[in-house]
Amino acid sequence: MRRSFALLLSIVISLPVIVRSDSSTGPSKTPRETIEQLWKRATEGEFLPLEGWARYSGFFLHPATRPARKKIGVVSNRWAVLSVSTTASKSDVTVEFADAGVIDSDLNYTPPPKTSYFKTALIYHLVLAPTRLVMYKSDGHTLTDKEEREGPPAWQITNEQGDSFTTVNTAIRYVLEIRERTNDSELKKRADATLKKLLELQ
Amino acid sequence: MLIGDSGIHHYVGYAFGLAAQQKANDLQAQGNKVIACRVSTIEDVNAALTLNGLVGGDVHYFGHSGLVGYTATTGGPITSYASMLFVGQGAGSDANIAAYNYTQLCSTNSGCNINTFLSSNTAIRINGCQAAETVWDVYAQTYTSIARLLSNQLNRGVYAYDVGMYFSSKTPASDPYFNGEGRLAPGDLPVYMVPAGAPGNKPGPKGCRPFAGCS
Repeated sequence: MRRSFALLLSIVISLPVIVRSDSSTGPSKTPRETIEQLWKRATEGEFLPLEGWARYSGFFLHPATRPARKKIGVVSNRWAVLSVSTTASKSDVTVEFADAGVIDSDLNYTPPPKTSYFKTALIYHLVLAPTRLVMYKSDGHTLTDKEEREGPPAWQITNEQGDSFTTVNTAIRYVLEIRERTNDSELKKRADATLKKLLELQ
Repeated sequence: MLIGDSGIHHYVGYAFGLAAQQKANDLQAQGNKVIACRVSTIEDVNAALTLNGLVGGDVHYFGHSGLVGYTATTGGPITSYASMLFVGQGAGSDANIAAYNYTQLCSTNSGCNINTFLSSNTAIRINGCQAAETVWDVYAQTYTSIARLLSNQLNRGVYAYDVGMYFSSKTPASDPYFNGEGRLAPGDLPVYMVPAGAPGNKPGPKGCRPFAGCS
């Protein structure tokens, strides 16, 4: 009995898990809610870890492959949905924010170009289209080789995916954490320089 | 006097209020009566324009204004613009006055007649950055500026600058600097809003006439 239970358990554990590419962006979400969720998750730093790219990709109709050298866009702590314009299957959602620069994978910080405009805004173009169902192995991270399946419709972004991004405060935390973990003295130096610049932005 | 929020990304402290106080003092010294209104949304601006009886003089706005640059991805290049008054610092579309909502000001759809609230000689004077700078506006889908749109909507002349502005204790005619870079706004009166430009040769405001453009 105990042996058969163990066998059953091992079968269950080894079964592939089917999840949507973005399990939280269901068809019940409006275009505004979809974009607000994208920005809230970016604010919380969900797209910064290695596996964050897949989460970020889940919002896009045509996801990009993860770039070999990671860059993180930094945006102002305050952002807001400025306007929403929706027809039956298309929607434009505009988010306003202030561009705060870029951090590369070596923790170098590049400030935004000096411009004459007051704020930055991004118009997300969305379409209501079927989602993609992908299969992960039981570890929850590794994709199986099985093909993607079509899932329920959801609002998805048609813009080019671009770099993952986060807000100034979360970027500070991100750089601090890497700085604390590394033994690379050069990386620590670059982290210090980047932190100094990011703290000036607050 | 319409006095907008001090801003977050471009925080100016009490400078808009002080510049407005300076203007109010100057006007009152000439015997004018002044009504000052703090505004944070387009609804506030509409209320200020339409709930104070007939305004016989000019309407002066002291607040943030300028361009929003539009990009296709975060950190990407700017590909298009919109001209706006950034009245409030709060989140949401009504914190701005732009091509997407300017018709809410004394809307004829709600029966508003601007002649009831602004005398025929009233002009709107915008003390803010770049409000008269013409761009291809993503919301208007034409070359325009928020100053021009307001002139059309309110059927009055609108005077605004197509350059940036800064705060100074000197008048535009006597201010010795090109712009406000590296200097804080004065903490007390006198305070003036000064357009960026060569000292002694500062640009004047553009004048926008209803449905006749700006020059």
